[in-house]
Amino acid sequence: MPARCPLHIVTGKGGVGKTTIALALAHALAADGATVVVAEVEARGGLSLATGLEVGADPRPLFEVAADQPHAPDRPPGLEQQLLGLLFGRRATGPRRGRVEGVQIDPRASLAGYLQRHYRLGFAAEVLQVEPLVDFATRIAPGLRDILLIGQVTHLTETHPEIDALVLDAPPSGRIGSFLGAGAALAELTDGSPIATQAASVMDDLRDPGCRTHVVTLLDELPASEAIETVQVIRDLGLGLGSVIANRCLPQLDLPRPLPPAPAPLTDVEWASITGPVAAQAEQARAQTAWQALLEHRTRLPLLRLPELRPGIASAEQPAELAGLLGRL
Amino acid sequence: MTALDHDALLRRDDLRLLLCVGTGGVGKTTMSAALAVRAAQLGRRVVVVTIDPARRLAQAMGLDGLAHDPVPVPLPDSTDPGRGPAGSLDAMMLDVRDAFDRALTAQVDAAEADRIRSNPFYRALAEAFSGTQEYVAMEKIGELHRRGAATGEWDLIVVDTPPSASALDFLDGPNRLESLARNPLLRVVLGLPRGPLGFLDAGAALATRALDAILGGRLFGDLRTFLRVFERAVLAFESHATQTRQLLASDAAGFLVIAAARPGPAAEASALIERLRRDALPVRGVVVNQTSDVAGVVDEVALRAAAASATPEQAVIIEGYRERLARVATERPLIEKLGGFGLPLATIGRRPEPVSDLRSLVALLGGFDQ
Repeated sequence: MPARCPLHIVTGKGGVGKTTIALALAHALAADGATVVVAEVEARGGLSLATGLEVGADPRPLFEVAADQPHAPDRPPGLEQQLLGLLFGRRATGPRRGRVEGVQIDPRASLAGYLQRHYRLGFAAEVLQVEPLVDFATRIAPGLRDILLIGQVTHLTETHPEIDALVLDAPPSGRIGSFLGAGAALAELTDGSPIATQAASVMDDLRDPGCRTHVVTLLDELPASEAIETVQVIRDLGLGLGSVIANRCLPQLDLPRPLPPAPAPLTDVEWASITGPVAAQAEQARAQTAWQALLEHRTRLPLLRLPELRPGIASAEQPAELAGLLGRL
Repeated sequence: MTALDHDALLRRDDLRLLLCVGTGGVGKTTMSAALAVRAAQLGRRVVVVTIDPARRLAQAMGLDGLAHDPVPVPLPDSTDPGRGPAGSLDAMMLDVRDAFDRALTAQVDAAEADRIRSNPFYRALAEAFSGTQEYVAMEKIGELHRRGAATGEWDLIVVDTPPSASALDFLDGPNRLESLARNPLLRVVLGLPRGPLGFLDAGAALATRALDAILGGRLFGDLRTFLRVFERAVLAFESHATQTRQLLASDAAGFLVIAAARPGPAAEASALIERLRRDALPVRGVVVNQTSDVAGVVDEVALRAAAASATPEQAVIIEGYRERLARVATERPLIEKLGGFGLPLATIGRRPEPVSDLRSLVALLGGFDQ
């Protein structure tokens, strides 16, 4: 039996930038010349919003990734290299151009796919297209919807053998435990029922050594505390962990103490209006470092710092901005 | 752009319900707490409903224990002589599980309540079904409003809306549960009494087969049992829900859209404003949180001259300031776009320190009592 396709699951508290990081991760993986598919399961169009491209139920190309230049020993490793190092303990060297594709996994299509694959009942799914009923059938049974979604994601590699790696833009950390643990919960309830087989196979996929969950966070009280809890939840489920990715990190700023006097021609008041915000930001950066130390200590996982993407860029330019960021570091 | 005057808004006697809505991570919980404290300082009798506050915020509000019912919060002393007598502040956390349990089991006798609690679908619905949180929040708003009107305990309810993937879920969630309970096809599948829609029977037979194939017989049986109770509960809520919806659309209510000056949250906020307007819900303003504002008293010419004469130590600071200015410049178009809706707008700068007490909470709103 061939080895399973690597599956990288990206979670984190709402608003920390999961989708952006999922794309960055895919970018890093594709630098090796690989074809990487980013799958979202939340039906909120995050991938479309982040890339400015229409992402639907079939994988579509998002961007191409040029092969990385061989890593020069006198240059600090780029973010891409750091990510690859973290994920695989090696560097990108591939001469091919990589591809990142996107797909939105939808519960209705997942249900139809499941019924068709196992019961030749795809037509029933047509009937089930009465919206609230589908919503109901795929959500209310504990974990059923999640099992169908994850099953549909892993099934992608069967219908698209060219895929080298999958990145799952997963639900936020508040729901990730029930999402990834759905198979076990459902198996308990359904002993011997048809869906139990599907649940067991999904759990096998998730427990595979090639599957790892990455937790995205900000270096801030709420997201960092939640990240620590999330890592524990995933550990308790017995699933593989990747890294903690700290997004929107402020640059460290070492301010001279005491602060120097105003340079000419600024008055003291004007100088204070400059030093005030800068000192506040330096303070914020220091607070972030403290959260980073706590995260590293409590999760015992590698932590990767990503700086804030310049805000205000048009969504269509995001992949380029992302690529630029990856190249710049 | 009109500036949002929160004090004027909070002083309006006819405002009885203020809802902070927005996408995740923009600071809704903190903002609703700050507005509640401020309103109480201005003399209102306030109850604030928070959802999942940060530990420090919960402690600052005296909510570090369980507070599923409103508990009084002591207000910080005022140093502002011209403000008049302070009102009062109560705070509570919305426990979705607990509220849902109470609402559901209120419809049945004790024995059936126990049976329903052990039903796997009950557990799943209480925790996972999208719409449950919003539904419960809506119920709670109605309940507090009725209680406030009857007892005079409160004249303003401030609500922090549930965190959700989409900011619009707060508006859509409750309907989702109701349309589920009323779905005729579902009622046929579950063998519930149904309306005059016999033609659905053929489709229902297929749907039944599909559900049976997915769930298996035992689970399907559990499901039927659960839905009979669920249906009763949801339909019993309905008159309340209609009242609450009327309240939300009335002049007594106000929505504040909380946003952040980042592309994702700003786009979500725009979509939310459009939606609120389409539904004729009263939007009172936009708060753009976590901005990089600077006072901007030094112009570019002076800054360049200063950089030219700066020592290396001074240059570090000037460089940091320039980075900050660049950030301000990239946030500005996002803020202007949100200002383009013609709604009163306030920006709130990023703070280096998390909120540690009620005074620092109110200070977020801009320089009060400092």
